[in-house]
Amino acid sequence: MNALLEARGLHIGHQGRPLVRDLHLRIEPGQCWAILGPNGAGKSTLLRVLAGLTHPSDGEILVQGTPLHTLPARARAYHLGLLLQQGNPGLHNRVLELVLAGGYARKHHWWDTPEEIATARAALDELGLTTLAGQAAETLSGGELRRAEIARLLVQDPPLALLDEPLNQLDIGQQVTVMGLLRRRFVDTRHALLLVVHDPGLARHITTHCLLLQGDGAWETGPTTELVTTQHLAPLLGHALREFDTPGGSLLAIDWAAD
Amino acid sequence: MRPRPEHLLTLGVVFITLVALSIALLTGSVAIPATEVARLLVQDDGSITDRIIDQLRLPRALTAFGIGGMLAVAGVLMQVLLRNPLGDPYVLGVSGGAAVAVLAAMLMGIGSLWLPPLAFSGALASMLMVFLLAQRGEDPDNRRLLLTGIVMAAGWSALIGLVLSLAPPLQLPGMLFWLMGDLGGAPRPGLALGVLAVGTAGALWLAPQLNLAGFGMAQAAVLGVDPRHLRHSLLLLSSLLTAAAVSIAGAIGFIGLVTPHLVRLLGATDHRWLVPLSALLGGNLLVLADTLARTLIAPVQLPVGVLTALLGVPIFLWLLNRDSRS
Repeated sequence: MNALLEARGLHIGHQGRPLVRDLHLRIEPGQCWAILGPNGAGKSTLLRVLAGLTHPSDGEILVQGTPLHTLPARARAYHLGLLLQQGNPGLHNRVLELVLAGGYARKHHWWDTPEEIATARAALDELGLTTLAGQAAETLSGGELRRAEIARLLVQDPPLALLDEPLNQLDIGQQVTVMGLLRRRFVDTRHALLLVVHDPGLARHITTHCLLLQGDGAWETGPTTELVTTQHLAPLLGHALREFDTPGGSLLAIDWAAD
Repeated sequence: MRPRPEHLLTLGVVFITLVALSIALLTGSVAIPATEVARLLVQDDGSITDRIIDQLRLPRALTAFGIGGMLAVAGVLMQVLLRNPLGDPYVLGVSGGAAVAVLAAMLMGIGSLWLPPLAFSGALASMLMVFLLAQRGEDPDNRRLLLTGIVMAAGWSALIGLVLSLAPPLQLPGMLFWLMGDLGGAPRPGLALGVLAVGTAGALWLAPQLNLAGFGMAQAAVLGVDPRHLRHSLLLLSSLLTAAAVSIAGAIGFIGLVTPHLVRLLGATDHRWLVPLSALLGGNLLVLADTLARTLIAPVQLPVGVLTALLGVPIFLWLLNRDSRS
């Protein structure tokens, strides 16, 4: 069976500096991946390459068995979604229009059908933005814009969603709600997620697999249970981590008290 | 169901269209009563007044409408392409290329029949140069394109200055009128309305993609728009519209810049509405400006470009202040 996404021998550099060397990655249905690594290690760049926005210097990306670069734009949007790190409210859109844009790749009509509008409204409901549908997107707060863009991703509903720091700017309650929603909508449905995150505790708790980027071209992939441990991650992240046993499982946290 | 604001807006703009065209037909050096104008529109009697309506006022008003519409649609397209509220049909130097071709032809004494096709070729040649120069490398938000266009426009205006300083004094007024945009020449209502119809249809076809492009080309690409394809279509369509407008009436400023902003302000932000409403409103604005231009200090006719600029500057400043307050 074809993987949702497969990278073969991927090389990515930035201004002459290698970020990722000879990367092999296979994302299967039902998996949830985290990319962890220090600032500037190429996490966002890798996500853009995997989404087809930037060309790798070498290597191949297959989407359900088809080379990514041979797919027309609409077909790509059908297979892959991407939440960019920086939100963009667009030029003078209402929030509902921003969310409706997620349905573009599947659109058959020039106008918006009642079904499309209902889907967009349902996605807004799921992210707790029901009352903001008619508001200008430019007036949203950072966290609200983030949630509106996640709602757009739900409308797009790709088999694989790539999210660059999806919980950025969300308050604690929203972080938990949104993460639960993403899991239900992508992982439990045998779709897949690939998240850039900074919090190893989050990665440990919700992901099945991890990709660690060192920033010098070296990388490591494997099941989260093997990679996301205090001993393994501390050197990469540059700080000590602590592990706690709780009734719900073990927790991994940054040790703010350590020097 | 509550009526969408766009529906009311459409009604309003259609009403304004009727009013603007009526004013244009009723105003002029010869006073013709409204009932007479209405009768002469449907019935030819060969009288002087009939010819004033059928051969002067109506063709001129329709030409103005077509050109105003083209400039407004080109402005919408440019503002999306460059993701810049300052985008207007001339920002990439299209009118400069046309002007240099036309002024050089005037200087060499080439007949006025040749000026429109020369203007058209000059505009397209300039656009092609900008496009080829900005082609290299990645340019996700078309910044490179904007800068290339602005520099080209600066180059063209230097050449315009050169031609003007070489021109014999007798030719200068004609050249200046052309530069400022003028509808006093031979009106071409059929051409103007035809190009407007085709251009608006093309822009409407692209409208769903224009909505997505507002989120940035990267985001639009992820949602299923082919950025290269969209960029090429926008450049081609906006430059054809601008070149056609410039070749008929010279470079009339501010309609392309102000109209899209006005329509957005009135409540239409979805490009499926913004494009047709801008076409109508831009047409009306130019019809009204041209009526003013030919009557304000009659019998002297002003170049309409002077009026659109004189009206456009305060309108734009007002829009700007209104934006920063909200």
